[in-house]
Amino acid sequence: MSSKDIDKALDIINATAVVISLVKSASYEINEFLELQRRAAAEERRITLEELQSLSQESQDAIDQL
Amino acid sequence: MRLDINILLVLAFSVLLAACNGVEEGIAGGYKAVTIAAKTTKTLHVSGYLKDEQVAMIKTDLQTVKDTLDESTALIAADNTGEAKDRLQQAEFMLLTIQRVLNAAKARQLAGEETEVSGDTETEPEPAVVESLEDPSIIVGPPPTENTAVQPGGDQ
Repeated sequence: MSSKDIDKALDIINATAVVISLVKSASYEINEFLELQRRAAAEERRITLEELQSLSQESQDAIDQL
Repeated sequence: MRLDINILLVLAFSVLLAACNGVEEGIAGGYKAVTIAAKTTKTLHVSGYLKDEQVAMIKTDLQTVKDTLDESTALIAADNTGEAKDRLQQAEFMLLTIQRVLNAAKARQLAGEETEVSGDTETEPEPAVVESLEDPSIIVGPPPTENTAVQPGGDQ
């Protein structure tokens, strides 16, 4: 196995790790949203302004970290 | 090595949008979509797949989308659901501006300008190759080299 092959294998491993990280992050956010929606439905109400403001702050924090 | 990141984003946005019934749910889904896009951008940046200027452009777009969602929230608070819905639709369209930024990145790479990324093209990862959200094929990773035999998860 040449060093080029090893570099290529490392590239694949690194990129796969990035994708796994992205999938975990996205699925966490989606699950959190679905849970919020489920809770609101169980209580037969709309999503409240306070909940929206909390999500707004969360998204602002994520943007600020860029 | 090429990886299809666009599929992840499209799936994430699709799940969020499909789960939205009313305006409040739409706004909540929009905020989550912004959060996912921001975190995805950060991960890609940290991993070296996005350049600083690309991140700056995406950040500006995400801030605009988020501000529009805030306006929609304010309208909900003022019991103006109709206007709130309009703003929400604007925000959804604006999410697609991110697609344009990423498309530009792809165009630059195709034009061969990506070699100026850091002045060290030997070990630094190439910038992201990104395509349309409607054509799910954001691909992260360097373009194929002459010896690329297997590229799991990616095709051009």
